[in-house]
Amino acid sequence: MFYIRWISAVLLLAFAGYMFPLFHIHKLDEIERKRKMEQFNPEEFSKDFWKNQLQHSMDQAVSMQTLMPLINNDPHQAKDKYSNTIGIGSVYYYYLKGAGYVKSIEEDAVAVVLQKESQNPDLRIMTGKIFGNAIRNGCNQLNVSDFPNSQEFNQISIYLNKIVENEVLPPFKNNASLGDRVNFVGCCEIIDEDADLHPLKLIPITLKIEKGL
Amino acid sequence: MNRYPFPLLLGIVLFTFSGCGQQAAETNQFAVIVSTLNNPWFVVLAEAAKEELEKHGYDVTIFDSMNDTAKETEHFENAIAAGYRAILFNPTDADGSISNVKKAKNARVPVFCMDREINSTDAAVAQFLSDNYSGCVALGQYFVKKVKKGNYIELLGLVGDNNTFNRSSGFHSVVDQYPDLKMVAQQSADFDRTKALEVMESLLQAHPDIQAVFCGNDAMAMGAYQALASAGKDKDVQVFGFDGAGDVINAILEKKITATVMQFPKLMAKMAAEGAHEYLEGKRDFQQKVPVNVELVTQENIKKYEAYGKKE
Repeated sequence: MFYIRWISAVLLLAFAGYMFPLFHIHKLDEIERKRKMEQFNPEEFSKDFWKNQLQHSMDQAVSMQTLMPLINNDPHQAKDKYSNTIGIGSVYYYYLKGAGYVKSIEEDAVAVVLQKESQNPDLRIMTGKIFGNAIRNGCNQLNVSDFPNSQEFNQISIYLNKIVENEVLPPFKNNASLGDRVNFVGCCEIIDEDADLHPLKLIPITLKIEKGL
Repeated sequence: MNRYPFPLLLGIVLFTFSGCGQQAAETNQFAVIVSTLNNPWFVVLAEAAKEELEKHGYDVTIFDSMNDTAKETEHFENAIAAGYRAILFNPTDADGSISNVKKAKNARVPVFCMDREINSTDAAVAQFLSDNYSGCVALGQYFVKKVKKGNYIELLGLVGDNNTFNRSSGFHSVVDQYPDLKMVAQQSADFDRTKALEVMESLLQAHPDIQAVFCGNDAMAMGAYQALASAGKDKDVQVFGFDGAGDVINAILEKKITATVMQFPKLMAKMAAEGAHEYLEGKRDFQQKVPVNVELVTQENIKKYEAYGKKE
């Protein structure tokens, strides 16, 4: 009877401890993530993301030379295989890299062909004002569920677009000439499956010009 | 005196706690708690949620919070006390509604948010939300193209709702880059048609020289249009809304309203209802926030759309 009494007491204590724990165990990285979110500064976050995460993710971008033939043959398969989406709906994104030749220079875009002799541009590198979420959503590196307030998530797009406008585009626009070879990495937003994919509209992350090739 | 105090106590404790969390399983009731039923868009959202849940055989009660967080709290308390199995929820306030959702979570009543967000990622099971920001980026670009230059007024929605600011922020991320477009007034009309009519009448007195009005939802767009029509300015001022409500779709067809952004309330309601059903069937791995794409509706593409959605 003595043992039953003590076993009962231990069980009761264990049960009480389970129902009303004296302490909780949390993962350190989870606490750090929450702390960062509580002090969220979208400009700082975007700069840090651009430098320390986005720049190291470019090997995940699909090669334009791989994607374009598939888009030409079977755009649905291209979408299934290489695009990413955020949420539910018709919008999808490509994270793209490749090289091509400057075919024409317009007010808000530079048209690029993959083969030097091609007449119709495969890509328009957008060089005007940059709007929307192409880079944030297209690079597939950020998850909306990590952000308690979607306003913060949306602010990231604004600051990523500013980095494109202020840092990526000016040297490119100042130096690009017809016939130059351009190495590019960037993201395309496709509004729906009926959208014209010729040419794709690229919001650039990096652009490198090679002269005289 | 008593030979079995510990086992007896243990038995009492176990018996007492064995009831915790079981109450909800005793009914077949679902609650659909919506911010307001004074706006047809939310009526569609609530009715669509009810219809989807009823397909799974649940009994559904719709609660109207009347844009009042206190009333919303009452609804949650009643739903929890009455043992509702789950709550499909359209919050009144992104911060103020969190405690209600947490209360339900603590009572083991799962909550699924529809259309409006709460600023928490560990209270609701999942949140199905329109991508308001992207919609207003598209609307802003169209606004720039159509209005080109001049003065405009912005009517904001409820100040405690993230949708209000995501829409405004998306719009301004575009329009603010065009110095020929000047916002001369920005005022809240709480997503309400009557209030928008009154606010717009008053703003027109102070700012008669405007070329456009951007409204954070379609109810306010209709109120603003009514004020402009009364002042004889409806032909000169372009009105832009957000929602895809029936009267605005008709107004776009009649060239009274310039554009809106189509949300998909029936889709969000369906996803939330299916999520709640799957939860009760045992599923637990839900994505916390699921953005639902929205689409720009203009006089050029209006034929593809009908009230609250796309034509089949």
